Amino acid sequence: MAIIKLQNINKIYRTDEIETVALENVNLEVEKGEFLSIMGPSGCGKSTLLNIIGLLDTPTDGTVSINDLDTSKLSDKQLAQFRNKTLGFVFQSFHLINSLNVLDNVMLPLLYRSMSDKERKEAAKLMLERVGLSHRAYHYPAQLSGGQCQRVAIARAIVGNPEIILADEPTGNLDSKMGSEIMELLHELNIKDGRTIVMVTHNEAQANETSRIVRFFDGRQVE
Amino acid sequence: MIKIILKNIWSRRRINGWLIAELILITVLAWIMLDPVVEMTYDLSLEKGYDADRLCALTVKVSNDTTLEKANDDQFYRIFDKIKRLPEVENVTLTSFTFPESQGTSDRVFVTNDSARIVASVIYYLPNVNFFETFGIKSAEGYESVDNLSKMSLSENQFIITKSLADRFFPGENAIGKTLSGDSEDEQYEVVGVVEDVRPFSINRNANAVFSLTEGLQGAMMYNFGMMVKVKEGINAKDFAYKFNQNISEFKDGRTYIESAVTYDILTENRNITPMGEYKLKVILLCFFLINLIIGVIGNFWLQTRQRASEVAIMKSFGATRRNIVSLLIGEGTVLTFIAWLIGCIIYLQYALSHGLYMGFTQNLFQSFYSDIADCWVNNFSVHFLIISLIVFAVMWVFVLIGVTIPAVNISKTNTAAALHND
Repeated sequence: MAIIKLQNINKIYRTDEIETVALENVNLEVEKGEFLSIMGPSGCGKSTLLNIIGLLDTPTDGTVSINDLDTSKLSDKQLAQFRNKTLGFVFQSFHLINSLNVLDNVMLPLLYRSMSDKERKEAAKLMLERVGLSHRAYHYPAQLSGGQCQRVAIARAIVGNPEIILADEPTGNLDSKMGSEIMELLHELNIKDGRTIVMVTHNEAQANETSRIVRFFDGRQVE
Repeated sequence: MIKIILKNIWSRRRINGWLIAELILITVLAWIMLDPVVEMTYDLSLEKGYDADRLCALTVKVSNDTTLEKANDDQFYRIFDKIKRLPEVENVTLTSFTFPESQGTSDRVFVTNDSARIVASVIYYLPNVNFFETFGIKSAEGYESVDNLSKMSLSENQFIITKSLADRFFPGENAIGKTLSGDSEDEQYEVVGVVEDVRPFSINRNANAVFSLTEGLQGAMMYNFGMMVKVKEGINAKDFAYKFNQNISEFKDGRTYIESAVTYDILTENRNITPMGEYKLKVILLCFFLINLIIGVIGNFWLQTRQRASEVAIMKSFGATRRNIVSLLIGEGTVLTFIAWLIGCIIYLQYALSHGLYMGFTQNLFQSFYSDIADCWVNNFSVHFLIISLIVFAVMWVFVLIGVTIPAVNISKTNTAAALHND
């Protein structure tokens, strides 16, 4: 059963002078529980695709369905709720809020849910424990290594128990050892928790460990 | 939400420290600028108790006035009757040297049962010349009509008083026939009428006035008499004064003549009783200050908010709605404003405790009047401080809100992917 379904997706960036085709007629289905890697050279539209799946950007044409729900019909508020409950993001440059400590960063998705502060804290601490950073809960992102920051980002992505994790080059800013640790964590989330993961990567070896690879070139799916 | 707001403020304490310092300075300056303007505006907005808008003052002169005679009285009254018959005129009266807003002052001290000394202005008037009707002074509810009051023949120990005085001396009672005690034991005055409050000076919020009958147009007193014209409803007092001045030579009888006609506000301004220049200057300075405030505060908060576009994008990608984002940023602005305002007010309070608060236009000139109206918010230190502090907060908050809300709404609408990419 496809949890993510992209149909005839086109994304064109237009300015007064030029028109850039970022994605051209992309059709893609991602099964529930699948770990999908998206590969391709820089500028081929991988991240654009991930942003469209993550409802952070809208396609010029085509439909994005998640759990059989056509997301183009959702209002801004509904989109926000959908992102909050169904999707979890892991970014290459972590995108932690530097002014908040680790615990508050992990709690971020829970702020937009009706639950008590105590419940939020407990859930965030549990996730930090899972990624092995419970001892760093009150540190700030600037006090952590890159690998630790990415672990915090993963804890933040999964604290709200989303079905889908979207990871945009999650090991891109890490050395190989830290990269491996992060990949182990993502595999664990996929196998143990059954979460669907869509990952953009340049790393062939990491992609080979996932259940499927799709390749892009110049905005088109080539494999 | 409030915890996140406080955490955000604390974590940006270096930048916020500067913003708070700026807002503290603004609080103190706003206090200095706003306090006088608020009180002056309040004083000027109070009911005068008479129809100043429809009044024109006529200056009466007698040539070779060292030899005033009874004949001058007749000349005076003939001019009076002529003016009364003008089609634009509803009423005309004679005024002595004291009338509301006149330059002349005559005060009298009355003593209450609890030994409080009350200062009141004495306004002298002539009988049977529609004094109360012309000024538009109304009789207090339950008391004799002004029509009858104008015709009354009063002795020198009988007064018509304002409702403020009546309420102060005889609360809940009918004041007619009651006695007002003066400063010395032999000073006893009978109340024969009560009118609605009339403020002797529009710069003074006090409405303590007594009306006393003066003798006729005799001797040297004539120097001080003038006429007050009330134009009919719909007639512009300024137009009337202009037209009257054009034909002023018609209003001469023997040695007595009308020298000029001016509207009531011009009369007040010329006599320099109401320092409108001071008020206007303070309003202009306040406007200048507010414009600087708008540029400074709004600009600063605008820039600070714009710089948080990537943080907002992160929040959006984890489920924050536009409303969540705008509320958070407004919340931060509000807390910053509140903290700065509180500190600024405490600083100004230290000054106010040692130097006092601004008390109005004439805090020195008419100091004695102020003690008479302790229940006015201006005289109550706590209430006064609270009211001006709240106004200061409201002004600052509005500007901070503008500085935060517009960029907050803008960045909440920005494409999330683009904002994250730019980070």
